[in-house]
Amino acid sequence: MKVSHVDSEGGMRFQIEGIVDIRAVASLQQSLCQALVRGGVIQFDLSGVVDCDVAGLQLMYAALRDLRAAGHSSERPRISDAIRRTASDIGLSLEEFDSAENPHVL
Amino acid sequence: MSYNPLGTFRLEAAELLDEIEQAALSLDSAGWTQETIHRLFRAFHTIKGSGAMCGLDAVAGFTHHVESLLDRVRDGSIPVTPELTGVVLQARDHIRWLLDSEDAGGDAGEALIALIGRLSEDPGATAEAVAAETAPAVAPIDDGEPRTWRILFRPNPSILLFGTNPAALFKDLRSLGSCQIEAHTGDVPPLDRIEADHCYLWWTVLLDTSAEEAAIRDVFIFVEDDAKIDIERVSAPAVDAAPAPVAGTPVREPAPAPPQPIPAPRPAATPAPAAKARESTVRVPAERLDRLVNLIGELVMNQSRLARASSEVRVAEYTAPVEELSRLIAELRDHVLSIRMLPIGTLFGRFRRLVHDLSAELGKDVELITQGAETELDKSILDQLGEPLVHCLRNSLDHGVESPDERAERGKPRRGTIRLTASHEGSNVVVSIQDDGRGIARKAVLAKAVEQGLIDAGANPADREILDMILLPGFSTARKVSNVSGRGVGMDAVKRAIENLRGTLTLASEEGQGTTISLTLPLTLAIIEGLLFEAGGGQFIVPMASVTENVDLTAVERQRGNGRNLISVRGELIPYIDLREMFGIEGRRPPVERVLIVRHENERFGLVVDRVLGTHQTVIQSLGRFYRRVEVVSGATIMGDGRVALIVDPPAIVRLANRSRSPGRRPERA
Repeated sequence: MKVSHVDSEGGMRFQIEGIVDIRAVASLQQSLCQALVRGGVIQFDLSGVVDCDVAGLQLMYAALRDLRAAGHSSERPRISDAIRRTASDIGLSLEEFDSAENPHVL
Repeated sequence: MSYNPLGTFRLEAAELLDEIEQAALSLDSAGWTQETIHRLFRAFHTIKGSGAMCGLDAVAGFTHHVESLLDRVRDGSIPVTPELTGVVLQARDHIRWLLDSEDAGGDAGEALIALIGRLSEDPGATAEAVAAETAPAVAPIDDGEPRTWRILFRPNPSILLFGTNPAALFKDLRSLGSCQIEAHTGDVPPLDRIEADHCYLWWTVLLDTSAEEAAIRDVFIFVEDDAKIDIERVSAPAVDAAPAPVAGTPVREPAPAPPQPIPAPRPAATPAPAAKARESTVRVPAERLDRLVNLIGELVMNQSRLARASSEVRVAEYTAPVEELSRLIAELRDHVLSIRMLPIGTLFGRFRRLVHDLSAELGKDVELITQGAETELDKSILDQLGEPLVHCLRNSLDHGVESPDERAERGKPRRGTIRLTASHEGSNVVVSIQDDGRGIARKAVLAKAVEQGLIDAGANPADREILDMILLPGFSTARKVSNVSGRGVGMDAVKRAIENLRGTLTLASEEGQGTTISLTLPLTLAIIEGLLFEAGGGQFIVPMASVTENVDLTAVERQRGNGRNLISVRGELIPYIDLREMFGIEGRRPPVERVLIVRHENERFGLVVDRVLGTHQTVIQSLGRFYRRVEVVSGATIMGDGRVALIVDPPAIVRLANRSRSPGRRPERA
């Protein structure tokens, strides 16, 4: 898994690529926490995620929920097919990721 | 130590096979329930699945047949009969054999598969068909009636840690029918409090399927101990008949519609107690425990040396720490020894099968009742107790319990009973094998003893002596030798084996009513409470458990005995054995010697020693091969001053003394 973030005017672009599974969760959690502490507009790009599992999905879910609760804003995220597929397999609604009411989420 | 999945599977399979044996045997009694069938099914299913994962295709393929048979028993298509019990037990044995031999099974496997096929009313079953069917897909049971099921699946948070993938479970569910799965996110904690390997999601599923509930439960069979799983039927189909999504196929935009609200599930409960219990136990190789016990032994010996050195230098500052160290080491010793204690029920379990099979072979109807299965013994003793108990049970089955007709003629219930019990008695455990059979016929024993020249024709030995003749080498009153027993090589071997464990064997029997064999065993063989004594300048230890008291022996009292080695203790005349004489120790005796009164097989006898030094925590060290033939010494220990003290074996001393007194034999020395 590769995590990168690029500062942009008034915010940050946070990109995750590769496999987001139980082995990657701890390091991704650290990066996400730092991003949340920093605040501002965060644009998530998850289009490079080639595979994920339940542990990875629930971590990304927690990140967007906490982001929402903290009042940060974000553009709509870019989500890979792998994420959609796993979310569908386990019955996790992409509404949780892609809420129209909360355009700042992921 | 590297992780060895095959080794772990073998251990788990062994436990499951034991469980299968117990469950199968219970089918013979009136006490079985539908849960017994479920237990059997789950155990075979687990062996099949795990075996396949470990590449043991022969195990998985064969087990698939048994599982299919049990599935039909489970749905009531096949009744529970003695034949079924027999087949399940044979299948269990065959799997054990496959695990041990890593062989494909050969003719024996084919024959058993054919038998299973016949029972399943599927005579065409063959090994090839099995291999083709072993694919892990879950087959729906199509009875043409689709039903809707609501499933609550709330896994233990640690479920991901054990490699469970909920997505794979849902894939299996989808193979049963149309699924509507909803993940619940309410338990997901704040981002910074998430444990990477915890699962915080839980699920409700609506499933439309024609499969039975059992097929749905089978999907969760490997996680049922690690999750709360509720499956209930709801009235009407709730899921569209559209084909279920195929795993691996990307779901394209637009994103799937949000799941329809699913009726509120029952309140979540904490994980099943079984799961908690499993998490709280750790499997440790026995050799690691043995090493730990050895290290504790060395620690105890060094502590003894330290205590002795401390008392000699008399430095006040050392006293308290040394005493505290002694207390801590004693506590550590007790804890470590307790780790190696196992319930005797682990041994009892296997005897149910023995009684079941032997009863059938001998044409008898015998029930085995066990009591005190929770009584604990050191693993090293349990390991050596199996064979002696098998001998005793075989004797009870073969010679003790009568045939049903003979019992009926004597006014007894047609079904005989053997009770196998264990209980604590002081620092010992007593294991009893009691049958309600014909008992020991004294006349037959006496006749045999005369025939073998053990006693004169007109002799009139005491009842105890007659019973003890059963324990003599080569003694058997069996009218015919069977492959079960009757060669007279059993009971003396049992007695010797028990004495090697520092235990004793006693017999009680009433003609026509039955026989009881009682085995008294120490709790542990590693560290014992000993009584330290001196004889001729050497130090020796006798196990404290066998000493009842010690008394003075003056030169005057010796003379009064007139060479008959008897001492009067509160009016009771007790024979004594002079250890100086037995050990060939020369030199001047103290004016007042001590006699340790020791109990052996309900008799008391004395051991004459120079003086008694006190009790001693004795770490038993085995003797080297040069000393193994010294019968009267069972081990040695290292004292605080570095000297070696030999541990004497009272029963062996009695045997040696008795042999020395036999007519025509010269006195033996140890």
